Amino acid sequence: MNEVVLLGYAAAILTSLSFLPQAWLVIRTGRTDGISLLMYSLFTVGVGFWLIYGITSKATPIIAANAVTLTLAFIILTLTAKNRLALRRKPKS
Amino acid sequence: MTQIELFGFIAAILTSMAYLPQAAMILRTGVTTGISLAMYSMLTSGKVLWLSYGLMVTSYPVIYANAFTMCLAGLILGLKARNHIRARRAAPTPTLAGLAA
Repeated sequence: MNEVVLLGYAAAILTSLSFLPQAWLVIRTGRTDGISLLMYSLFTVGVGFWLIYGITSKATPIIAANAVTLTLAFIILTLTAKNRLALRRKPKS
Repeated sequence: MTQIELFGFIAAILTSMAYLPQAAMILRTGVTTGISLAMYSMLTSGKVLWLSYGLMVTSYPVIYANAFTMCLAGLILGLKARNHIRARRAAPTPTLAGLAA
């Protein structure tokens, strides 16, 4: 493995795993206030495109990073969307 | 521009722009309770490494996307860290009774 690929993997590990504490925080507490639904909607679609880019350009760090990130971002997106929908149905009295 | 580069640029635009509403939301409301400090610490340092990777393999989508998101993630991290420090200073020293409550 050359230095460049190694750097790519270090970057991939950090940015992908960075979503783990956020996903864990949301799963554990169920709190999604302060989380932007628009962000995670755009982000999840974008990560899907990164995955396609990685596959077509055969860049393994990009493929690995985005496969993991896609899963985690999707969890955060679903839970945030679920909370926002519940909040809409039951407005504050 | 090749089709591959096009995918890369669409991906770059989406994942970069995604941080804008999050940053705007925090700037507007000042609420960072649902934001993970660990996440944004890792994310910001990871973006620095992605930028170096992009420069070394001369992948323009990777360079532009990560330079931009590095700034936004850094901003979110800074605001979260500020709130985190303020909350710690304001809160009394935790006691066992306080933790149980």
